Order: sequence, then C-alpha cells, then structure tokens
Amino acid sequence: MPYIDPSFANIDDKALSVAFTHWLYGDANGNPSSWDKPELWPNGPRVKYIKRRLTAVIASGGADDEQITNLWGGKNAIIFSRSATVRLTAAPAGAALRIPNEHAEYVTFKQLSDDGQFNVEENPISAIFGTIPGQPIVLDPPEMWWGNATKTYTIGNDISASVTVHLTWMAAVLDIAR
Amino acid sequence: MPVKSDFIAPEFGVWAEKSVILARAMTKWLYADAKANPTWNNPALWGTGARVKIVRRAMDFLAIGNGEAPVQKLSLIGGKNAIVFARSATVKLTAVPGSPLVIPNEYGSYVLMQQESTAGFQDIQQMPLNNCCGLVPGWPDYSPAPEFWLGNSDKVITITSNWAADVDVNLSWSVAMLDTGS
Repeated sequence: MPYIDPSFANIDDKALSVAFTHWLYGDANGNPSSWDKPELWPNGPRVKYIKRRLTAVIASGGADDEQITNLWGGKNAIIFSRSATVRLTAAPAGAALRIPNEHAEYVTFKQLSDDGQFNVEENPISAIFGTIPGQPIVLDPPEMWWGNATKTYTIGNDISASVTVHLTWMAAVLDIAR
Repeated sequence: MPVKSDFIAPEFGVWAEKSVILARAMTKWLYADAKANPTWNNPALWGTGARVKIVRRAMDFLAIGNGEAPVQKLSLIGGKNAIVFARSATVKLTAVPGSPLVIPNEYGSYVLMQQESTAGFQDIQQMPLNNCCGLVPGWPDYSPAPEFWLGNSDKVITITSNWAADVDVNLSWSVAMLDTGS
C-alpha cells in the first residue's frame, strides 16, 4: 500500500488519499529533500492545514477590484474549503449592527486562470464562498492546486457604499519546518 | 529510531472507525512525546498508563481599542504535543451594552486575527475572526483532519480591532492532550 499521510487517512476514498499525499510529497518545490524518495516520507515532512486570504477594498458601487496572485508561493496545495466576509468598509454606527455578509449577494466574484479559462464565472460571493463565514463552502473532492498556477480574481461591488471583502481558502500544504 | 506501536488510545477509537492510520498517528503523536509521557519509548505500557484528555484552552484579548493590534504568544499545552480539534472566538463590547442585547459576534467581521509561527510562517494570514474561528461561538471552525500541534512550537497571535468601541475577544481551542495524572 503506498504511503498515506495521516491527515488524509480519514478520507474514505483511499485512492484519493494516496493521490493527495503524492500531490504534496512528490512536489520538488514543496519537498526538495525527499520528493523522489517515498521511503523517507513517513519520517520527514508533515501535512499542515493553513488559511490563506485575499482582501479587496472596493470604493464605490459598480467598481471592480482585480488581483493576480499565486496563493501558495509556487508549492502544490490542496484546497478543502473557502469562505468570505463582506462588510461595509466604514464600520456602521453603534446601533446599526450588521452580521457579516448581509451585503454578499451584491458583491460578485470571478476567477480566471492564466490561459483565460473561467474557473469560476462571475457569481455573487455567497454562491461561491457560502453565506455564513464560519460555515464555508466545502469542496468535494478537495481541489489539487498546481503550485505554479497564478489566478486572476475580480471582485465587483454593486453597493453604493465602499465594501471590504476578505476571501479565505483553507488548504493542506507540506510543512518541512523551513 | 522511531517508536513502533499499533496501540490506539480508546478516546481515538471513533476515529479508527474512519481511519486506523489517523487514529494510530494521533495516538503516537501524544504517547511517543518524551516531554509528555514518561513511558514514551515503551509502547507496551501505553495501554495501562496515561490517557487522552480533551481540554479547552483559552486566550483573551481585553479592551482592544479601534486600530489597536495586541500580540500574544501561544503555547497550547506548555511544550507538550497536542492535537487541535476546533477553534472558536467570541467578540463582544467591553462595556456591556444596555438593552437590546445582541447575538455574539455581530462585530466578528471587524476584528481580525493572524497566527504566525515564531519562524515567521503564517498559519493564518490576517483575516476576520469569523473566517478562521467560525461565526457562531458554539459552532467552531474544524480542520479536515485534527491538527497535529508540535509541543515546542510557540505561535504568535495578533488580534486587530477596527470597531469604534473597545472590544473583548475570547479565543478558544478544543485540544487533546496526554494526561499522566501528574
């Protein structure tokens, strides 16, 4: 049986667990010392779940914010879930409290790969990231993300006031302690 | 020489139903830790001695003013290995408001958290608390698999408030640790 990292062992589909393990451990950028020596994998690195974010402050209704980024610094990663918070940039006065994401359906999101393919067509953020920030959209199956993939994100604001958008991805990466 | 053992702590038995590999790894993570278990290198004794205990750990940031970003260092279990199952946060006004009361965390999106290892690796980039600790305090944020926490890793946690009034932030972790009765 090929090696399965313990953090992936609770996934029912063992072929997928093996694929996830290889995706991270077999990546020369993420595991430079033993990417081609699977016999060393159980002794060495470990999988770590981290949260990465992208923040957009969009000034006025109808404006777009475009960012090009490589979320994982060139190393392979596996994305398990994503969530978002949309809030008014200017905190409302004390009495007018707001739970997060009451404005989320007026803010849109689009994700494009370098070759122009739409990974996510323009949609309200709540449809892509979930409405409740603490209850993310969980990907099934988790998405294997190429380390060298750069994506273009466009966030559109249709509210008259300025909004601040925090996007969050939870991903498994390899922790080699350096 | 790594310690070899097939022992699974009974508290992790429910995980073994899903994955024996994970349940064994979690058991070894706690029992083979020399700082936590005097019998760390004698697995034959693991079934008779220490036991796993699920505890709650807290960290409080009190009276944070608008724009302030206090920093605290977190060592979850005093240098011993641990396994983190969930984390949650409560954000509330420092001065208890008069009626009407509000549900917890209506301010959660205006308070940011960042978690960094002392080596500088960002486990959690700066983001609203509700994105990394959940929105509803009794409904925490779970990782896809419990998180193996190295005992000697101190984390640096920064909380930033963008709310006009002072807020208190109570962070909470649900953690498995080894209880050796001492």
